[in-house]
Amino acid sequence: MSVLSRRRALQAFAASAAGASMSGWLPALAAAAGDQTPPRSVILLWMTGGPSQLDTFDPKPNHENGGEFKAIDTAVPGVQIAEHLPGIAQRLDRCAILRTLSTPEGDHGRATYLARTGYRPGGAIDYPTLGAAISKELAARPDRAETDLPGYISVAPFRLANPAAFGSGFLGPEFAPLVVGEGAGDPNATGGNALTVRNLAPPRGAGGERMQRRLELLSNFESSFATNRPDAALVGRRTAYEKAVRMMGGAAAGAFDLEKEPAALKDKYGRSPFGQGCLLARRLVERGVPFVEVSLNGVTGGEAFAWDTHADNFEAVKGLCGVLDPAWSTLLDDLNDRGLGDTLVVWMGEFGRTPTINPQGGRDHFPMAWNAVMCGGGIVGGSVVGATDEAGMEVTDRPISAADFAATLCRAAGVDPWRDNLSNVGRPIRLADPEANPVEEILA
Amino acid sequence: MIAPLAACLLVLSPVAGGEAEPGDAAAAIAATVDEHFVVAWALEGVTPAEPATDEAWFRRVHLDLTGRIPTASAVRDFVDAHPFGADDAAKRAVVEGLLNGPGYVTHFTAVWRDALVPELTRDQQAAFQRPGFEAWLRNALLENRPYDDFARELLTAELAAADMEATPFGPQTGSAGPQAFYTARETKPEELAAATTRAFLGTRLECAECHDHPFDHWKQEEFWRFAAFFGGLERDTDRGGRLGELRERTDATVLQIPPEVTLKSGVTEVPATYLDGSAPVLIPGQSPRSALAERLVAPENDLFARVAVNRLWGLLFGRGIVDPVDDFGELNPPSHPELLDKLAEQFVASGYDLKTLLTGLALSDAYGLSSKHESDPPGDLFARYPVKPLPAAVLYDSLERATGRFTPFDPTDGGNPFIMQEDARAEFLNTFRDDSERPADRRTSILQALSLMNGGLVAESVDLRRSRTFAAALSAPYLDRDGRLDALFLATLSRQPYPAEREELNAYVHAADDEAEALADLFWTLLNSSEFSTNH
Repeated sequence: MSVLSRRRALQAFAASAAGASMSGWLPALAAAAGDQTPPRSVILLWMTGGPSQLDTFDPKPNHENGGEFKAIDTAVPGVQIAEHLPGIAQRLDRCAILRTLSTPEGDHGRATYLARTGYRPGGAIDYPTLGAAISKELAARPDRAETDLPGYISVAPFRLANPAAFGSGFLGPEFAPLVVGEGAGDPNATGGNALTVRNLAPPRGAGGERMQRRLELLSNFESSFATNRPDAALVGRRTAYEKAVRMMGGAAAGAFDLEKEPAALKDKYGRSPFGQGCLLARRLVERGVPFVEVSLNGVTGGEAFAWDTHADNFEAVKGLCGVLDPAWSTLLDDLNDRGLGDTLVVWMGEFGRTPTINPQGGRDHFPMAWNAVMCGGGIVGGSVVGATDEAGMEVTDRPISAADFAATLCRAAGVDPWRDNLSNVGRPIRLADPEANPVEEILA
Repeated sequence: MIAPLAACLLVLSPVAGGEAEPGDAAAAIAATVDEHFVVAWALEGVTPAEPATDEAWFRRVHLDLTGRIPTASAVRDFVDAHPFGADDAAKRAVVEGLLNGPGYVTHFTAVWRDALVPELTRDQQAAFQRPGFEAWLRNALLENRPYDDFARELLTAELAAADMEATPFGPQTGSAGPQAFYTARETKPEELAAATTRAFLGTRLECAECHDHPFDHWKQEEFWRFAAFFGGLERDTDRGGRLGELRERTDATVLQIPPEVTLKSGVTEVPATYLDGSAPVLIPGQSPRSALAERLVAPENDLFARVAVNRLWGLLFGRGIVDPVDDFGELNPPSHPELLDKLAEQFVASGYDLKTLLTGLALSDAYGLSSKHESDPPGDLFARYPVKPLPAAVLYDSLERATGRFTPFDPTDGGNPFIMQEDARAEFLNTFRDDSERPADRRTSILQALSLMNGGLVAESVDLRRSRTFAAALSAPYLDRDGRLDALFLATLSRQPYPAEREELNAYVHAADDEAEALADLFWTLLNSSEFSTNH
């Protein structure tokens, strides 16, 4: 039987089975990439486990709590950070340090939820993580370039502490992150393919023309079933399939192919899961994805609460900074080089660590005073907000709540923090708590 | 002379099944629903959808009552046994068969678990309590324990019984019981108050925890007074987190307001008080919770039965008469108040019999309507059956049944939740998880679509060498091409192809170079279709 007669039979079926086929599927499978400059996107560098503020952005070299690290000068006169972030020190004029996050949760699960949603856990409301809420707003903007990729992509998250802190909550799965590389180990050991989308390619023998045929059959079944069934669930299902099929097309799938990047650039980012994840983040932002997050869960991957340095804090933080600093620095430069300098890059974890050093040479959980950093678009570079006392134990100036931080993040991303969504309890909930005070002084 | 409305009623009055045998509680419930909607639709000038086909109804009750599609052979037998259409007696036999089988117990264990303690599947620490809680639910469902007893048992559970035993997987409950209701809320009075009112009074008090309820009349202090019923709960925190041993001081009838909360009234301690403002009569030495439980399930509290009826109604009909099902309040009135009241009365009269209620609802005409309708009548008129996306577990179990891949899942083994995470089912549930409140609000994600199109489960199912259903459909010597199409349709959509479909698909398969490949593509399509992934 020839291909032609098979095709005719298929077309006869398509024509008869209740009318129009689902628009967009077939042409999109073959569509090519568009090269447009997107409006502002956000990259969140998530430090799983809670990084030590004294050993990163709030050094206390003249106090016994300061530990063994030196403080170094930065591109901003009068501002010092800890010694193992030399690359970021040179680029601090593009960044704002928030030194006084002060939050009420000291447990990984609860604190992760609070930091990532802006709301405390418990109770009936399933708050979305800010990536979901912000990407929803950014993707809906009329000036946002059309993309075949989803609005929120999470690279190598470690979600065990609290899966809900990485979800879209009451916004529903439509706004949930597309997760890639979860549990990814060493990207070199796995042939560099660790950061790919699961199930993106059809199984062997089911791709190409065969997939086209299947989709054509499916689209006829779908239109036939949808006739006289005006349910929103069916529209939502169709939309998800359309988006998935568009992603299966070469252009979107290619976004995840790091082999297209020069070896020298891959080296600069660092051949760690986190370094390659940052490179992937740039590729995704370049293709119009509004919100990408990359988690640093360990030096070589496989670890979990990387920054949870209850023992041997200094050795662990030095190792992690060795991965973080080149990746982050290269990311800022690479974004600038490609005209994407307006991208907002955010660095944070779920809490800080005790200024006092425990007998194991470690630091424990400390939510009373900790750091976050924002760089790039929307930010007044070189600013430092808030201060802690000599020992790092107390906030002496400008405490920043999780809600304040959430509102600041929204504002810096160009999103109104007071926009609301209907929640699962039937009550509208704003992106950030209405009582929050955004940190205006760092907003450009 | 007959008034126009009465004339309508005469024409529309139910033809079959309306007459209940005296003492037949389920038939009486079905009749209540039928009589109500004949009038309601006439008053609204709405024509209901056609009755669903027998196959569609058969699939629907299997999904709603047992959480998975029927087998192909069950559909075939049902249809063959009733060539001129299934009557009420035949349908009733199906419903009762399902409710007395193991599928009902397994499925409703999950339904009640998610309604009463949703934390058990969302929170790693709470998950330790899941096996014990599910075992308790299973026993209650197996016995068809009256709903009031069931609630009373939960609310008066002996807490010391939640002692932890060391197991190779960490601490677990030594005795199966309802204590997870308390431990999952870390024994916090405010969370327990909110969980109790939400589960049994359909009332969301959470907002009143911090301030006066913005949309209802609940006041902050009323909330904390209600929370005081749980004020004596303590746990031995030496063992950390939610796993400590539970205790209750039964003399604690006054709750100290936690330091981080400031009541507008300025008071720092409140006595246990019912939501209507009356004070309980507390028996010394007995937990204040027992006073609360008795008040809650007392016949005078008609809200208790209405909430239960509404919850099961919402499950079967895709939306509650009060919707969402746990948001009863002045500002969210029921769409059919008289119907809800009458059904609640009948539920109480039946001795709070959950199976009778489910039988009555499933046999009603409204439940048996088609999901197709030429106009789009408002959803709260229930004039057509809605399209309900299958919950993750139901979709997975249905996929297994459709593809013949069924691997026994033994919920009684009390497996360690961390180990269960490893298996294919857990991975699927993770990808397809959706906590939407209303069944109709569930939405498909990109990863879900990719998983169904390209994932291993479906790929294996349409692979001749690995799929039982597909191999059987293809190789059975007694099947001709029509028979093969039938087999694939019955296994997935629980129906035979429509004549036009059959004609076109026959032509499609005939035109293919490789019949097996064309049928594999068809099977793939059926498994990816909305018709398969939804209850309709």
